[in-house]
Amino acid sequence: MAAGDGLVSMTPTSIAHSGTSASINADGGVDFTAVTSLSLNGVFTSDYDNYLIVISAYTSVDERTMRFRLRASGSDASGSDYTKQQLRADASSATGARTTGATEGDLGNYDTATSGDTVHLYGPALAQPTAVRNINVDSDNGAEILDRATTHSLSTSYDGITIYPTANAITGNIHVFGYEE
Amino acid sequence: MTLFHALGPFAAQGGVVAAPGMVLLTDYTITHAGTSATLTNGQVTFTAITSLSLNGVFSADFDNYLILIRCLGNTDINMQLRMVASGTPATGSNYTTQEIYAVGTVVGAGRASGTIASFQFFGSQNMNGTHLHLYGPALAQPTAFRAVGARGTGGAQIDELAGTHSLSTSYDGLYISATNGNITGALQVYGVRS
Repeated sequence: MAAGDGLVSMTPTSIAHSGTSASINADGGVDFTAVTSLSLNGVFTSDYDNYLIVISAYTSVDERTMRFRLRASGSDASGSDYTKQQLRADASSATGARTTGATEGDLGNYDTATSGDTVHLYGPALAQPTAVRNINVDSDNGAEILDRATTHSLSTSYDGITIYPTANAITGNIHVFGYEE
Repeated sequence: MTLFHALGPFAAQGGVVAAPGMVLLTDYTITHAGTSATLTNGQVTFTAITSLSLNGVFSADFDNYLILIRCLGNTDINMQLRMVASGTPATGSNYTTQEIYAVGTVVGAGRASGTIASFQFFGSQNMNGTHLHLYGPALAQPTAFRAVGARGTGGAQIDELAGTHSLSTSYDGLYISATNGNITGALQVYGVRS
């Protein structure tokens, strides 16, 4: 009928950060305090095609977008190969925007109260383009939605990811899971 | 001997030994139209298919399911679904869908009803992916589904669809089809522990 766990915790083989501190927990998650960037290495492997990342965090200043870059062997993919589409709901306003030729992808917005992202990654470790979809709760104004879809067009296999806020520092937790297959 | 040693680490974390919350399903069969599709250890890999049936994948073991799809289309494709019982798709006019999308600065929405339900749009550019959540397909109750995806068309688009099937019928399978092209990629089905 069924195999084992559907989701498998992916413990980074190593991490790197700029800012105050970051550490890998026993369960594979990573706690970080006042970092301006955080890199997780070795979280995407040939064992799994698709991944789930859960982030809960807060910033020192409201309205900071969390950005990401895919990463291979310790180097961020920073070419103009990202396209990002956003869907924002703020009270009665729903708006969209697209950026092409970007050097990074976007996740949700973060604020001084805890915000969060559920991030789906499709095929980051495959030698194919990668699709990323985040589902965000932004605590600005009580609650906002800032969902984004990002694609990365290079047919490169990536084993890691770097996240960083557009400015200031961020504190929280991130955990990567692989979807069993 | 402490209570921790007597009951083990799970007990020490809250007194309950939990089963996996989400389980990869492996024991079902598939049929397809198009070039090829293979089910191996819970992963269906497919090449240039126009339709795919997952037979016997829903059961009384789970109420809710997640189907995870990543694929490339050969063109912009409207993906549709039908519920299946004992190999027979439900073709009555019992499907309703609600869509919301964001394409550049355009945000739009639409509702449709009919004999088949759209659940996602896939493009030929970049990778496409979707999480298709199904609520109660094997229960003798109406079924609900929700798809949250990333579409590679134009670089990136957001498409989300919610759908319902109104019959109080227990279904054990799902039929998906590409209305106007074919797709190449892979999918997995997971049961979500109730």
